Amino acid sequence: MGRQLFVTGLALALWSAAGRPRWLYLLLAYLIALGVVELSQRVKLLPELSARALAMLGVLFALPGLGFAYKARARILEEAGLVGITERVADRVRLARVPAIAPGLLSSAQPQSFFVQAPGAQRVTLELGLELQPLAAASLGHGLFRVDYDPRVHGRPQLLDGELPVQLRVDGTAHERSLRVVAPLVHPRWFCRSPNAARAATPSEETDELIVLGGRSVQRLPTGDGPLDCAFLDDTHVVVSHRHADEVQVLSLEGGAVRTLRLPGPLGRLAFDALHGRIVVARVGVEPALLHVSWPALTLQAVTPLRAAVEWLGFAASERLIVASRRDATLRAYSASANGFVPAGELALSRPATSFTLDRERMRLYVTVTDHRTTPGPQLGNHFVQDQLLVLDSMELRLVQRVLTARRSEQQTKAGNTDQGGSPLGAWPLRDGRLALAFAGTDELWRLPLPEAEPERLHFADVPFYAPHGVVELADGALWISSPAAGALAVVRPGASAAELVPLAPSERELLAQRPLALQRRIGERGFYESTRAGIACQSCHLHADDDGVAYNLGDHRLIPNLSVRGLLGTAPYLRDGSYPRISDLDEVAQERYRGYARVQPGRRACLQAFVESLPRARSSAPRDVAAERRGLDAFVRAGCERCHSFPAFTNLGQLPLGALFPAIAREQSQDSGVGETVDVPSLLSIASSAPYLNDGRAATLSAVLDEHNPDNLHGDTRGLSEAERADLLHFLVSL
Amino acid sequence: MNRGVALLWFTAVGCVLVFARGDSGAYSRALAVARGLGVVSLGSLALALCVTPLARGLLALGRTLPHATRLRRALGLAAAGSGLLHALCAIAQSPPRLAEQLEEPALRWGLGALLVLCALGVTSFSAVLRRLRLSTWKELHRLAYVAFGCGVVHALLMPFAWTLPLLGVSAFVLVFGLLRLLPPRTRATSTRARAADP
Repeated sequence: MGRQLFVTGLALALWSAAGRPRWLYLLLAYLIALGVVELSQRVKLLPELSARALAMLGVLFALPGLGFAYKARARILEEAGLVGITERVADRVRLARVPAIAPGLLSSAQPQSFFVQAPGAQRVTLELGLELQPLAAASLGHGLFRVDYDPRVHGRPQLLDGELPVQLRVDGTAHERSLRVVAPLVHPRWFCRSPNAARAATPSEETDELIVLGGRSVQRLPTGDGPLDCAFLDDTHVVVSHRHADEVQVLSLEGGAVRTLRLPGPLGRLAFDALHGRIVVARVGVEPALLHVSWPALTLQAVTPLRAAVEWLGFAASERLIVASRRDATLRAYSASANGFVPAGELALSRPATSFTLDRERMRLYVTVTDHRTTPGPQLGNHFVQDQLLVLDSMELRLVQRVLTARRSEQQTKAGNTDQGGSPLGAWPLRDGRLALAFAGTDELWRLPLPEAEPERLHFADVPFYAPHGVVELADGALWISSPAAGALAVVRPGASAAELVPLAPSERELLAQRPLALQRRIGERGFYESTRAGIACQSCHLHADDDGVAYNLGDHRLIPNLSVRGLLGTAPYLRDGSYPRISDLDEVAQERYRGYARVQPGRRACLQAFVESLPRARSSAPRDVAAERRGLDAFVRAGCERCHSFPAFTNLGQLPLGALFPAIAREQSQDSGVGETVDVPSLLSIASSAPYLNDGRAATLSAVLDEHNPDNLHGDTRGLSEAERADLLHFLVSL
Repeated sequence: MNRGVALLWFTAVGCVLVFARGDSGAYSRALAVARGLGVVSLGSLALALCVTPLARGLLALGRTLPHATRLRRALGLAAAGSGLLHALCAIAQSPPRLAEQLEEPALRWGLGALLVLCALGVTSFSAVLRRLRLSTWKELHRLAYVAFGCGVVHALLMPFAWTLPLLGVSAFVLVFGLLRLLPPRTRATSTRARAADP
């Protein structure tokens, strides 16, 4: 043992002398040390030493090696490809411990579905704590169960942040598991204003409330599940649409009864035409449409189907409705007709609108985007973002003016004037003819004269107010700005040079004392919106954590559609090729490629990871039909999908050579780039809302994934399925 | 003993081939075979590493593991052989991209394990043992633990790793390895202890 320690110590010393942080060099050093000791003993170069002396010498020799290993530990792990291996293994172990549950996140802000894998079980219940009733799971067959959880119906766990111990009771036997619980804080976003401009309101989707402000008062009213958008019907009534409830509510600001109308959902934004007493609510999801609701009768009048789901909408002059869609980045105008609306023109943008506002006369439309090209063809700049304001004629949908708010260079590694005007997310036309713009990327507010002149800038440096989203001007001349990340409003009174903070959530100091994990998420959320010095932020492409539907050149001049960053907890590694072992590693892209951030933020990586991991996936809006789902799951298993998209997370967290699934595509890409691509196995949860599909987004629909984009029948044995089975499989996928 | 291990090894490889023929998952057949051979290799190595601690444990109980040395060598050679076949199968998948694929950390760990195993295989014969001192030979062959570690990391980093069984086997080998740190009890001391026992 003494000689062994001596050889090991000598090897460590040699390794540190070489200064190469690779395990291979350590192995080589061990062999050299072994040879040296063997030789020296054979030729009697060294005196005979006792085992104890050799051991002590070995420990002495080992010290510099251990010091070197400690100092270079980060490089050693990186060189060895071991960065994030603990997370990867932990995620896999979590899914391999049967009965297993996925996803591993429980948000108390929205309804969610959990899947449980319990082979051979007849009955499964999920117990979220003593204070809540056990949730019964629906059996889908093949040992897979689904648990639907709605915090408004079933209650919220007492734990606000952290790992919640839960029990999976399988045929009467309890199994301890855990879910990460997140209770989001208030998130005020965009405003609507009353006709007399005395009040404004903003919904907080995460806390199910409407925040109404005016003068010096702020009122908080409870709403339905996930208030998404609002509009004033008159000076005292506000209509609210909901993301998680298929209903609109009309709230009286003077304490009257709440009126509710159920609509075919899922619902999105809304707009109100005061002239004709007409509320238009966008239906999103797989069958997008405009729903026409009469006011004050509050009845559904007509449904106008759409090609793409609406992201923003508003009434322009002459009863024209302008809508902006994210998926195809297009502005469309509709004219009113007897049965709803008919198309009246469209304008394709390069990128989807990040905010959308009409002026007071409704003749001008202000749209902010992350890039706009007047020449046809895709933007091939690597991760290219050029924040700008587009001013359009709302009658003709004609571009009148472009204002580049953040001037960046063509290459993100080169300097640009990017410390201001990053990520404009809110606009409001002011009474003095200027346009107020809120910049989430650079924490500032502009009052921009149009046509373009030097704006008046207000930085929120003195108040803890960041990543502003919405802005509104009231009759008293006060400008109100919202910050979802800070959980606060700020008001700039006429004549004031600084903003006054109106907190709606606990301060950072209070969070640090009471809910440090919530503070970490808050800091991470700020980082998500913050622009790098190259002018690009996470938000630039992942709009509010969802994808923007745009294909980007992420290198090699190949356009790859971006992805939503929701539901990532427990699915390491990340990106389409699984090249990033941890979410926090994506920060290195910002630091090394985009020249980092102007602001120093300790713990930025961990906070960003905590925020992204706290984002739940959207629950499927498909109607529940367990019999159809069971048939679909049968087809899923028959096609062999579960070999890779394994239960319960519908991914085995593995990666595959592209050629194993799509040999022709792999050959083509290999000829282009000379590199054999590896693809990550994505989770299929919420897949209905994540089109386009496959590693390069070549399949526009799920049906195309099963049919024309599986030519070799290697991406599941879909050829072996009948038409009915294929339909069942599609139904099942949409239900996930 | 060697014949027994050889029979076991051929059976295991045969099972791998039959398994791959029936169900290769999303992999091509050759990749499935490669994967199975990797499992056989790592399993053989784990068993080889358990032989000495097991023999010592039995010795402490007054029993012996017959032909422990030969068994260990046979299992080690089986591990090296199936590791080599495993690598050849994987290389046969994409020979032109071999150098580029070695950029993958998982494959580098696998290559490291294979190199060490082959080196140990070559030096495991009596002729080499006679040329090296016993202490040097032992120190060299303790690298079998390094090979096993490299193999485990290789498997963990690869897609479709059977994570739980892999971690279980690793823990088993680790516990057995720690047992080796206990001072060995020779047959003589064990016999004396039995004699002293009334």
